[in-house]
Amino acid sequence: MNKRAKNACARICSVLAAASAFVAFPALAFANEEKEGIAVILPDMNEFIPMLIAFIVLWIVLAKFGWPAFDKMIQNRSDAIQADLQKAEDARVEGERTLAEYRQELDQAKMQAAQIIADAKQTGETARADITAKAQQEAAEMIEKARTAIETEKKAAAAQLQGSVADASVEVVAKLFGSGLTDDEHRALIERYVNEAGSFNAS
Amino acid sequence: MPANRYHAKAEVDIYAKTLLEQLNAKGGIDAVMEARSQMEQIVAYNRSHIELNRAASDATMAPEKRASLVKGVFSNTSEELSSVLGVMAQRGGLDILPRVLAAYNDLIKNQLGVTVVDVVTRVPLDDHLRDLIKNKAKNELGGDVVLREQIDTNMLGGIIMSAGSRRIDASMNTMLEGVRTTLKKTS
Repeated sequence: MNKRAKNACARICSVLAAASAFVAFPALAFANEEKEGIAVILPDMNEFIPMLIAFIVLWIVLAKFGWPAFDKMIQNRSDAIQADLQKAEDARVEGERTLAEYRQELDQAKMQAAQIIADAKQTGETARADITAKAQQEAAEMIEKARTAIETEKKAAAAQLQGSVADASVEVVAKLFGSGLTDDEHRALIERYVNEAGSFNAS
Repeated sequence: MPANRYHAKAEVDIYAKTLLEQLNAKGGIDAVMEARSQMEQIVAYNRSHIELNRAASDATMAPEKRASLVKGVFSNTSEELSSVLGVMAQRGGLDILPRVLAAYNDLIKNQLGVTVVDVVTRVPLDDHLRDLIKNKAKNELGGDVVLREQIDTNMLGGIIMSAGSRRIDASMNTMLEGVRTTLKKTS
């Protein structure tokens, strides 16, 4: 970068020196119109030396004052461009890193969402299984209770019927004994019972 | 407490012995049995009518007044029994009368050598049945046997014999109740 700048500066200085010589010595510049032959293209020392001196002076002036300022400006510009490029590069790297992070977070979010969905699905399946099992158990218990109640009712009804039959039978026998026997038959029964009854000592 | 229990038992024994000796001296075994029957009625009455018991043991009433009250209520019983009941009321009440009756029965058995057999039937007994029951009781319990007959028309038939705490229930009611229970259990 610096070399290119220096070359450009040298060319600019040469042009400026020629222009200054042309301006300083206008009569010498058109003096060759009177020469002939090879002399036409050879420099005339009377013109050449002043021009060379002017050029050297100009060169020194430019080298002393123009070139450092120009070089500093170019350097600043180069530094600014370099800094901008570095910033751009940093921004690009930062952007890529942020993008990577976003992508990673997005992937994590997707994974979490998938996990949540899977968990919810699993929870739902478990809850459904629990509810189904509980419902089946309750149904089984209700059936068992109903069966037990029916069995109990059946037994109670059968016992009641048996009790009624027993009561009726005993009532019939009681009526037969109560009103169907004469006093003598009662006494005969008492005699039989006294003979067949247990002992006072056994009771 | 044992002293109180022994004291109460001694008091009961004194009542029973006094009553037995007085009645036996006055009217023999018939008077003794009559008083026994009356005491049983009084015990049964007291179980269903607690008012008399309360009045006889009312501490706010003077002892003499309680005695006169009880004697007046039981004036139709024998003089000896009403006198003993009056003394009971004067000394605290008629609560101990069931125990006096039990002690009285023991004295009849132990002191007079008489076994009282209570017989409950639907129809009156004839002499043959009386002898049969007396012989059975005499063979099994010993002593002279006195029957106390009671007719219960609610009985279907059969006989219930009791001698103190011993009892033979050969009534139709009990038998049929057993049959009823067996039918309900097995059928």
